[in-house]
Amino acid sequence: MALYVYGIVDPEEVAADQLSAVVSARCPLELVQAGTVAAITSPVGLDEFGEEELRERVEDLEWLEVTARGHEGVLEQVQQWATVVPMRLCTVYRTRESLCETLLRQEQFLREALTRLAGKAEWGVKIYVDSARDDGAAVEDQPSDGDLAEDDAEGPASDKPGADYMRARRRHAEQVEETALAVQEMCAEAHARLSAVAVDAELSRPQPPELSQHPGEMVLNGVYLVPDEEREGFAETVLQLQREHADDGTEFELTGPWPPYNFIGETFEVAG
Amino acid sequence: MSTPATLTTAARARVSVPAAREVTLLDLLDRLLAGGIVIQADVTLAVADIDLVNLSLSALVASVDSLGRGLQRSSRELEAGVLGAIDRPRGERPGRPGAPEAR
Repeated sequence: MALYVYGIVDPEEVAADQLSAVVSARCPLELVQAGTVAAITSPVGLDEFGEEELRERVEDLEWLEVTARGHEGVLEQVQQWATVVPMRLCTVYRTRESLCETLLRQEQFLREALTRLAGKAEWGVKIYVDSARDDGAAVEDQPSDGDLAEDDAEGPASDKPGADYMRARRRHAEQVEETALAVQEMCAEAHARLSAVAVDAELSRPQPPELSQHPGEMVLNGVYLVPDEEREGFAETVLQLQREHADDGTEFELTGPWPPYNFIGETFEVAG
Repeated sequence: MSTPATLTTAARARVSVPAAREVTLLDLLDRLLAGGIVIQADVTLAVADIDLVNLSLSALVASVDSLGRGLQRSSRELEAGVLGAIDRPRGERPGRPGAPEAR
């Protein structure tokens, strides 16, 4: 059997028998130690996790979801009592020897990561704005006779529909620009205040609206590495931001604690 | 630590938004396909070049009400502006390659 690796831990923090208490869809979980680091693994077949097989599987949303939630579930449980350095989804070694070789080669990097991440967790903060507030699609369309008065709420409709149209269009463009600027400033300020409570911060790409399952428009998708003792302060910062934006349709969303997926450092081993 | 849950801080003010939600698959894939260590393995999922949108996410998309094209357009505009003002998105940072295809 090949070995699926969930993450790396300090073997002094995680005893082999502790893993038997961790619930996992792929059993049994096994701790593979090499030097001063250990990998949390479970046996998998190459008929499922071979190179070619994996490429096909990844297009299967159901399989992807089960696998992703399984990966996350194991790390979440271990994270409750130990520092984990999470692996990318679907990292598989054909043999125990091959895994141990890699662990030993990367021992120093992994030890540094374990030390750096100890006592911290990743938190996510998303900001959504009310997408309706700059919705002025009506003036984008060519005006047809009769709908100009609706577009131009200021003043009575004149007998120069072309001028009215241009004026409405210009005003709309200004409003859109002002809104975008205000949102930009709000995001920059929120990110700065959240970063101040964190030891590290990154910006992820906002999720596309067709996938985010949220009626608002995501304008910030930040991730923050927060010391456990600052956890409440961080949550309080999010609540405070939300209070300040209670009436303008802005919504702050906090998720976590996550394994520190986004803070594992810049060192990647190049294949070969 | 408890299971990562979504705390919607606006929940008090907005009845339509649940106070806590399941971790969304998108949040999870956001992290699991872009984050985590990539060290040489015999098999790695080389999905760095697969755009999330291009995965077979039709099931997810189908559950979302149809969103206006205006929303999508302004999202792209704001995304460029906001990220440009603060930092570059992680995906565009130089020196952080996708998953190497180890064999």
